Amino acid sequence: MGLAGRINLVVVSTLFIGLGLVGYLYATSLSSAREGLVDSNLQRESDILYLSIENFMLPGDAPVAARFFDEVAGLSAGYSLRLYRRNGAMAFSDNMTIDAVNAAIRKTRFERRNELAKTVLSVDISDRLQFDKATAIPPESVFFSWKDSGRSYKRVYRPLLNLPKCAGCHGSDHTIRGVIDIRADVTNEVRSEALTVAVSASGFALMALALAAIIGRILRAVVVGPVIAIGRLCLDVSGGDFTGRVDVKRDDEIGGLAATVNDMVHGLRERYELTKYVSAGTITSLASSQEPRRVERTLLFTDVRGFTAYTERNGVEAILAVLNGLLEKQAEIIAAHGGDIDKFVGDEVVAVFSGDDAPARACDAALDIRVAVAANAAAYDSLAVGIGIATGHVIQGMVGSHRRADFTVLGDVVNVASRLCSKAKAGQILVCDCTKDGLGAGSHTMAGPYRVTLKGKAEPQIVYLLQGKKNVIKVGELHDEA
Amino acid sequence: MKPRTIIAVCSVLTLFGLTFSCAKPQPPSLIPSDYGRWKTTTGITLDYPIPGHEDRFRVIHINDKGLGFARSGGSPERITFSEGTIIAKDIYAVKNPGPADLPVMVTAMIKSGSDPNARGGWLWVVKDLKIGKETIMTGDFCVRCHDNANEKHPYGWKNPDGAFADYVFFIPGTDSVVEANPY
Repeated sequence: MGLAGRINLVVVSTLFIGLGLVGYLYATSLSSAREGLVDSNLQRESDILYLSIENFMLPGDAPVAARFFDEVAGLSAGYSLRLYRRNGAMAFSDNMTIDAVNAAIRKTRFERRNELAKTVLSVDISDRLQFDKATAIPPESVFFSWKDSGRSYKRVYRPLLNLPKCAGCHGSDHTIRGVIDIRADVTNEVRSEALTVAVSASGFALMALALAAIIGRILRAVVVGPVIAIGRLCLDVSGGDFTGRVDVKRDDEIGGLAATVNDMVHGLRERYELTKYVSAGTITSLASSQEPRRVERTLLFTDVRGFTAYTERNGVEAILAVLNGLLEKQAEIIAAHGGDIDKFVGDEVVAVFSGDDAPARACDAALDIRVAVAANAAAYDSLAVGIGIATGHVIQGMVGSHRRADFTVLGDVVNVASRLCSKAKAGQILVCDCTKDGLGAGSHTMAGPYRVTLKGKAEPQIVYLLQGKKNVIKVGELHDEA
Repeated sequence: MKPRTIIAVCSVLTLFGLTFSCAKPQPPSLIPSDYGRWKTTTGITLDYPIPGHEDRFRVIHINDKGLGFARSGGSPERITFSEGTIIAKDIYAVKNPGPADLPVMVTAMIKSGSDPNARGGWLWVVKDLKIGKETIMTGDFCVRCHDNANEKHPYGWKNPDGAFADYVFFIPGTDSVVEANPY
């Protein structure tokens, strides 16, 4: 997952968790407030009923209390009221209490009723636990939710105490006289609450998505986009393209980072440009802090024949165009053969080859240069190069001052190669015997040996004229052999 | 023992110590332990059934401060117990306990008008003697029953004139009739 995806994931998760928590708290507080309100109303109603029954009963108006209770119970469809004895049976449903009271006061204070309730209800078994809790010692009002036939109710079991002033009629061997059962139908309130919660939750979810989208876009524009642009620029730079820039102009951390990266790329570009003017050996030496040492190298010198006369006949621009074309081509071929351009001296190229097969690669490069120059004679105004190659031990190291130095080679071999180059006529490649000895057996065709006196050398040097590669196998020939 | 283990053990012990040092201290007992040596409020044998305690044997004690209650005189009279009065009622498990039987519960009225849990100016406390746990009764069960003491009632002196008796059924020194069962 990318940076943008991760940031979006964190933002969306945070929003959903945060808003989900808010939604949950909102829903629970809504439900709690509704339940608290209903419970408070039920408590108040049960208090009023309690006091009403108590005040009807004390003067001995039990029948009035029973009628009052029946009338209140039938007030509305969504309201249910019942009175149970302490054993869970419905009060006023038979003559049991009347008989008990008459017996306690030892006279017939209340006449037995002839019309008894057709259906004697009692506490549902499922509600027995709540009922027992309400009638336990100490007794307490018990509020609970209840469902019946798809409707929701809030109920309260309100215990009626057998007070000392009640004991004269009802006896003193029990603490609880009975239980008031009030049921309030809260179906509509619960549905409304559920709808409110669902709408709110949907709103919160949409809000979270919208916020996530907005924050994601802002983050993409402010952070992710510039970071991606910086990443692309770095990728281009690592591929050698130093022309790009990050176009972020802001006064914040990202803007500072972009400016720093732009400066860095600019600096890298300058250094890259400078490498064109410095040999690969110098760069390698700088990178690896190489110490001066004596090593075997193959030196290849090329020089344009008749160039001085050519400069006298042509204009500056034409001269530079032809010369740069020649040098460019030679540098390309030398690099292709693993050689390192040590320096350009006017129309002269100095290249260094290292490794066990350095003589062979130097010779191959020289042959290719000769072919390339001849093949493009028109482009080079028929100019040709003479080439000298020598192999031997040289001193390799930094030469120069603290302000300006080159990582170059010094030694007799360098002079020999240079002198061979001077001796070579246009199109000729002169190699020293050391170079020839370094070639694979029969790999190249040579003319010679020749004894040549070189400037600065007392003794004649044995040199060869490199003609070509002996065992070049064409593709067709290779197939035939296979 | 490795240093890491020592650090872990020390951390756990420190956490343990901090947890217990910060734990809520046990509140002091509301009912003094020597309440059994106080005077009793009535000479009546309280073994007859009453709502709330039914037929379990009861003995009611009152502290010295409670004995100095105030009577206003006149009619209806107003009886006022002073702050700090404690009336503790031993509740036995049975109607006729033997000499070796001990009460199983104490219910107490503690005059403390300023206490937010007070009902009718009294704290109503129940102590389970088996586990020693005291509970302040914040419901209306106790006070609603004892509210009957402020009018004519069937116990002890019966409050014939309907004096405000400060929620106390058995006013010390008012036993004119000693009866086993008021009903």
